[in-house]
Amino acid sequence: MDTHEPHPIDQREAQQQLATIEGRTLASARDRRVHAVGTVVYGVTIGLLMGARNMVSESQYLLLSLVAVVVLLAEFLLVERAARTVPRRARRWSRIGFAASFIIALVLVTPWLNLSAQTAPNTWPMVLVAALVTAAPSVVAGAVIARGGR
Amino acid sequence: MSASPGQHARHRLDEVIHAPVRLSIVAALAQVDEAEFGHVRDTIEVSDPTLSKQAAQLEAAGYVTVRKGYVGKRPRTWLSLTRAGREAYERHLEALRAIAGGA
Repeated sequence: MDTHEPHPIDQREAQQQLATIEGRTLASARDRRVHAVGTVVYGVTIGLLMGARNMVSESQYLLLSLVAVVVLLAEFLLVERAARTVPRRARRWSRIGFAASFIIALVLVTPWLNLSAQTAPNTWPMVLVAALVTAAPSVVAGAVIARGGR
Repeated sequence: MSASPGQHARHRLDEVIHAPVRLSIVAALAQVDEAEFGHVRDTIEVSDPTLSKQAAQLEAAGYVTVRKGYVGKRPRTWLSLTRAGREAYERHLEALRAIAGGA
């Protein structure tokens, strides 16, 4: 910015300003937890939805999908309502977790479950494994957010 | 001993950020990606009009983004630092530290 005139500030004033700004913080562990839980809920919801694909009838799966959409919307609104800040880099980590969970569900979990279902019916333990694998990136992202990740 | 003009750390202080309330706003926002207006107001202990006015000046300088929206039926305003704002704050902080350290 403009440097025509030096600022009238001495060493003591500078020290006072630094002390003042370092004494106040917007960041809170609570907001980090809110965003972390939101990220984990997203991953687990997508994981369960993808895993249950071959376990229920078409109509039941449609209903399940609607429930998942409601859960995700509610989660988004609850996070917006509950958190007063978006912690540093939380949004970036959330997006990385979301994207990775979605990609894993699409290119790994769903093809595996579909392929398995051609020879024998999928089992609930398989659904659990599928859900865990899908949710894993979001859970990791949630953990990074909770720890105030870089 | 002659001091060359423009070399002292005070010349690197940012005119926009230097005002006490604006410095508090920018310093608070630097710790998060985004913060709700009311939370910033409570943290830096200013009134709504003061924060609005100072945030508008920071927005005009390209240092802050103001996002308005709703949570349920309640209007909410969110403040965040732009990349330029974050860089300007880092430079300002370096200059302040240099002055505080007796540079």
